[in-house]
Amino acid sequence: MAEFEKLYKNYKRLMFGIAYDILKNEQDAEDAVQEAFIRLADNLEKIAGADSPQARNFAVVVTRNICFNVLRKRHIETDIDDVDVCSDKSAEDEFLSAQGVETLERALESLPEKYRDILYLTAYEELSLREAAKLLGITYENAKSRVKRARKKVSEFLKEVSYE
Amino acid sequence: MNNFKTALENVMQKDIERFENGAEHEFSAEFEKNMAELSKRTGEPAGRKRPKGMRIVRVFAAVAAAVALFAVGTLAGAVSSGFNVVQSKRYSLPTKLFTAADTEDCPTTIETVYRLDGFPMNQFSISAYNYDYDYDSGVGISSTYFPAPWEPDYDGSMRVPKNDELYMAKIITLDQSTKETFDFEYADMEFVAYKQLTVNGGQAYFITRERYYGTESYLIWESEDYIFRLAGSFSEERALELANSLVVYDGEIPFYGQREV
Repeated sequence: MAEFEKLYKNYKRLMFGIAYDILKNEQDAEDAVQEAFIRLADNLEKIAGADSPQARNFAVVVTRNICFNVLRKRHIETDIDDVDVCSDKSAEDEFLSAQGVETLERALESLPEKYRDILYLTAYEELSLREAAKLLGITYENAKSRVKRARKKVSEFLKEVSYE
Repeated sequence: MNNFKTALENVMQKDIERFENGAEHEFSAEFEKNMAELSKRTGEPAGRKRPKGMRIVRVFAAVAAAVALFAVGTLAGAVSSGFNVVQSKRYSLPTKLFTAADTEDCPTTIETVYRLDGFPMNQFSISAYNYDYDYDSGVGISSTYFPAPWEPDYDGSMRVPKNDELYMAKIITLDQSTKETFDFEYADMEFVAYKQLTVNGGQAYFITRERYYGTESYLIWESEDYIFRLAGSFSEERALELANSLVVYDGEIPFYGQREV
């Protein structure tokens, strides 16, 4: 079976579940899943294999981000924040590395999914910002901005927790 | 693996577990047909990095295809109506156009809002929003034009027939942004045909992209102060007609975000 077909067979149900959970509409969810498969098809060379955890995680991340774009066009999404995005990356890295896994998990779970997803792609899958931007269908500048915000939010969460 | 990576992996796994044993969904016949079509068109095996030589062969193949398309396009264009050169180019990521746009004397916020003329108020909606809800990305204006009057729902909100494909295919959107904050995410330049034009003396691009469900068209152009993007399914002639029909809008603009226009 061709890789794309395997991807489709393996993950269509999972992707639909995620899309429906966000969009609450079957037709919109199917449209989002279709769009996600198109994007995955365009990025097949980055995926280690249709049966890999990476493929599954990419499917999740791409579907989620397409759904967030749909919500944005519906003008429903309202996770606005007012954070200054300037931050010292190296100091943050040091701070993050010093934290325990459980605490880091809590910090990540406190993030909106789109920030978790960009961190997953850049810090875990080690995609470049350009590669992550392409997968998510956003500009390089947006990807860069999301990473900065995400890291800043994680650091702030961790600092708050350290005072408890 | 460092703690941060482990945490990312664990959190992703937890996210997925919520859905892994979800209820079965019976996909529509249309969905399955579209996926079968996409599957046929996607011949790339996953997980294999192409050797360098193969990449070079693919580049030559792509160039040869582009040259052939150019030749066909030019001939067809010359025969039909003296169109400019049509090229098909592949970009490796969404490409920012108007990179040489001179933004020095241009407004940094949207001071004058424009809409398309010829659509009555009940065939039109407009809103302002932060791009990607990133505070620093600036504010854009988006207006939507419907082929028929929208109907008010029971709570007064807009209702349009989303399942009517013919209706949906005729919807046009117009986005307006400042030159500084123009976000090109809406027009992915991969595998599209585009044509350079001018609109009122300003640089413009007419872009078409064949999707499995039809043709998407965009006209993106810069005026003296702003960049506009029309999207829908229309001919180049219709796009230019619409672009030349801009009028000032001075009504209320609801804002879906944090920032004021």
